[in-house]
Amino acid sequence: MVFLISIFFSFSIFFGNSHLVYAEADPLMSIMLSPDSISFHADTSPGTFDAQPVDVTVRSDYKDWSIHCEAISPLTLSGEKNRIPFERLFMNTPYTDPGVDKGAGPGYETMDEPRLVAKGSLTGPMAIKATSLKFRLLTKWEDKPGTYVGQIRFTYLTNP
Amino acid sequence: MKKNIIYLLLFSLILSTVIFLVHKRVYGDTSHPGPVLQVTAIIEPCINITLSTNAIVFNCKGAPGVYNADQPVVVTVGSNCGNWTVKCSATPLEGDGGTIPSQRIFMKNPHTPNTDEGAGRGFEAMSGEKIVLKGSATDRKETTSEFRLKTTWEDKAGTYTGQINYTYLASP
Repeated sequence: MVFLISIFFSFSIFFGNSHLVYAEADPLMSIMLSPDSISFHADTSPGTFDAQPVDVTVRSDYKDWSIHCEAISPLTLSGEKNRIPFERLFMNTPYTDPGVDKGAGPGYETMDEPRLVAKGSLTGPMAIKATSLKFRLLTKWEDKPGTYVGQIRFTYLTNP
Repeated sequence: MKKNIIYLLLFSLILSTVIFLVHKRVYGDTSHPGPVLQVTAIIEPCINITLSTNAIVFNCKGAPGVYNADQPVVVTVGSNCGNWTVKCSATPLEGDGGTIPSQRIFMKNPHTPNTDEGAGRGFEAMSGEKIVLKGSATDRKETTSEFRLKTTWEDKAGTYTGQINYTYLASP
């Protein structure tokens, strides 16, 4: 009997609240990157090399949102096992500490963990430029010549 | 009684799971996947050769014979290439009084044979290209080269100048 009651309450609560959620207008959150790819061209002795800045544009119906990014696949040499680790990929955002220098210049933090890149509130119907990101790569003599590819993923947190 | 306790526990479990899910849906704060930025890094082959000096001088102030350069040359190489070789070759020394052929300039380093070609053991005549240093991807590898000049009575007094050119071969 208790089991049946528990099932009944569970389902009623679950579906009841589900209706509450889906009865509201679906909030929208869209993030656009411009450009959607970046490249580093290391054509001199090892050191730091900059990619082109990336503008992050956001359109949001959420009251509060924040955007994070992290490197999800290390830069890997095509067809080989050679890699440039996340620790040598750096980014500069309005939220990175301008006083910190981890080997790629002041204000550049490593991408070995998720980094906050932007936060905001309702944007209305128009998309807004949320932030501009700068990326930097630190190369070493042991990096074999060639083309390395990797990915940086953006994620967002929201509050309706 | 025991059954009821199990049912109650089960109910609590389901209820807490549902509350957790509903809370997440209503109050958000969950992580959503967004766009992905493609990253490309192009690393060009690179070799960096540094010499400890950009000039050496042979002060030949006595009778013709073999004279040491005023200083050895330390060659430092950094490269991201899998295999590389640095070589050098000498041009004849030209002066108002004529020419001293490069065969009379001698070099000694760990790659030269331990023979005597007329300027002492280990000094090799610089006729053609000579290997200075070999290696693979490294931030720093260095070697020291010593130079000697052999003069003869036919060499007129004066100042003679020439060049020792360093070149490299590299494979990624």
